[in-house]
Amino acid sequence: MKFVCYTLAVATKNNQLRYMMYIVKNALKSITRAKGRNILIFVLVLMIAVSACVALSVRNSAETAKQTAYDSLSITAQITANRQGIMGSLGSSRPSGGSFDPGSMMGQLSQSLTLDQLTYYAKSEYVDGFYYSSSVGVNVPEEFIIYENTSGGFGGGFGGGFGGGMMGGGRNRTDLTIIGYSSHDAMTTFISGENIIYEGNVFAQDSTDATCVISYELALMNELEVGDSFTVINPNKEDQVYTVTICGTFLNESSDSYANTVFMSYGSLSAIVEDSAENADVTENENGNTTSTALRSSVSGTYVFANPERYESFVSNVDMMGLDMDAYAVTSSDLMEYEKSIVPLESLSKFTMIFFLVVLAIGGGILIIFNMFTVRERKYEIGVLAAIGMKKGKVAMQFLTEAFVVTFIAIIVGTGIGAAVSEPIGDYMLKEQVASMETTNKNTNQNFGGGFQGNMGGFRPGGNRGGYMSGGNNGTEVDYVVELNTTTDFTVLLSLMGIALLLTLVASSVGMISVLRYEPLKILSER
Amino acid sequence: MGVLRLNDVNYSYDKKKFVIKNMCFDFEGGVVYAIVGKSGAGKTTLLSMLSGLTKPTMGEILYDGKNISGVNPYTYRSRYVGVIFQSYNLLPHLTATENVILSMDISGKKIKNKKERAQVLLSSVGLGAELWDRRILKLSGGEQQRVAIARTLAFDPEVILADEPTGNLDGETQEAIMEIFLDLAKNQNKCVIIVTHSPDVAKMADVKYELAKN
Repeated sequence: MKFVCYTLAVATKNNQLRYMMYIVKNALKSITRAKGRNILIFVLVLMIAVSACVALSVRNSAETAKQTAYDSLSITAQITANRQGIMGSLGSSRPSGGSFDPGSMMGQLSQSLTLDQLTYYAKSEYVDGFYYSSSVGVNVPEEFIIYENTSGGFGGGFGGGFGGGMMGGGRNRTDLTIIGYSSHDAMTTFISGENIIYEGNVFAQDSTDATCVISYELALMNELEVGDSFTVINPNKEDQVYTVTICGTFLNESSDSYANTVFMSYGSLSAIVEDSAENADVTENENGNTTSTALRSSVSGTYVFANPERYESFVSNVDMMGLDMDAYAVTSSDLMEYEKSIVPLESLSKFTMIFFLVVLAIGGGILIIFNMFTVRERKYEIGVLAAIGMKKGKVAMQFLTEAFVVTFIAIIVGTGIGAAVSEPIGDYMLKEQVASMETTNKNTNQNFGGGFQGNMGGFRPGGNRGGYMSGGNNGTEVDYVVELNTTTDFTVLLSLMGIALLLTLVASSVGMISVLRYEPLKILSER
Repeated sequence: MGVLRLNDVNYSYDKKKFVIKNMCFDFEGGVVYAIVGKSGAGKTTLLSMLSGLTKPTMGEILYDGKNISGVNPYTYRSRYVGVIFQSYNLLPHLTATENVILSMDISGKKIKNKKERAQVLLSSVGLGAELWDRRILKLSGGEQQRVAIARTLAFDPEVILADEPTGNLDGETQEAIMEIFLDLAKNQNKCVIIVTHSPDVAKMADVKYELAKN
């Protein structure tokens, strides 16, 4: 009995295999004999395949580029005054019809954490690096020539007299700004290449000997060279003079924003500030507020995170560590810059997706209509095959096999062509997107008289896979991703195969329904 | 009992007027039958019913004692009954040999050396070797009819149904075709049923049935 069952199973299997063989054989014969029709289908599917391959490859690459930029994003963040929160609380606490205290508002808005507090939050488990800097505004002797810069920026420095009390000393514009860095990592304008050492060397990061780097413009105008010294004056106490020694000069080819800025180590600047505090004159006015002539420094800390997830965790963590979130906020320009930098990629991704869907819809529609006509044209063949005993299902299967063979060859060829052309097309499309954004930004900037500081960003030539901004000072310079590594990978291939399967099934199903509906005698008698 | 039997078969296109009424026939192997009658007498309808292309309105058709309505009509036509159509119904994109092989493929019967067998059959119906690999449209009516006969014989059916098989042929070819049918009946015990208008064909058949118009 078992043997009989086995023999029957084998026989059935062989029979089915034989059926399949002749269906495939007939399908191939039909393809080669009806060249015109099949070439037409081939060309149609080829066009769909090339378009779909290009669209999918470009989209895939745009998404990969976005993800790569995101993954390689090293986030830096600062803890700054929570302007929104402060303004909100001041607004809500303002008595009806009462007066508004601008001094209180300015005080709250300009508040910053001390170095100890900044260091405390740097101990969060999510922080991967921490550096800080402080800045001080100083004057120079009359014979010292300062650069009359045109772009604003740091030129002229900070007011030097924020006295110990509230707004004690008023604001005097100073000649130079000294910035002290805790480490070379903090010198982002040098890391990004915005400033480059022109002569000499940068100071040692742990130095306390008042060695500094000044701009090439300052050095040139004052005939200073590496190794020379010059004096800086406390703007609040003119007899308080400090000598700094030049260890290097720097050049900024694109801007004169840093022409009146002196860079030194945090230790060096700290020594000057401490000395200034020790020798300061402190006075008290009639309101009880004290005013000090000490140099007032402003400290800012920068936290470094390995990835955006750690940054997000840090934001939650500082709240638990006790940071007053109403008064302070953790902000990162890197994430915003990242989002700006990928705008062209997102546009490209959306555009290619829409293009892909349109190609599929139109191509699929044409294929369906074409198949309907093909089946009508082959009605006689269906009638003959059914009349000599070929089951309708097998006739439909043969037609489907034909469609599959032609479609798959077209998909393979189309994928090859698509893979070859997708890279230049992808690069071209992305460049067009970036150029379009650049034009929009330029126009917007012009409309604002060149001072637009909104969120649209501006194109900075030379940026390639930038991913995130390296520190433009007006918030409008963004490194757009302008190159795509467009490849037709396995995912795209699988998707195309899936599409081919779907298109063939959908397009052929109309024909197959027609085949199943036809009665052989009716077809043959109509002839 | 014959290979094919009609038991009180009736057929009506509109269920009002019957083209075929209470028909009872017994067709046996080894005999060539000629069915004659005036146009509209139901000859082609009878052939359609015998081939399973049309179902009788009433009555039953038995093949080898089994009602053919219980058999898959495609299996019935591809394995047991060979049909030769008046208009040949060959596939134009295939050659003569390929048309014959296709019939063997569809039958699902295990046939070895299909190409050789096809060529033997084509040769036996008088089609020259130079025509075997020609596409159907490049053959004359008589040559196409021979291919259609070879196609029917390819899967070795017990019953051969032919609708005006000599309708488009000259007298000499007509006779040659009839010789083939007679040979099939006598030497291979096939049951050959021919629907014809031709008195000459009817005369050559073993049994002649004349259908009267209802």
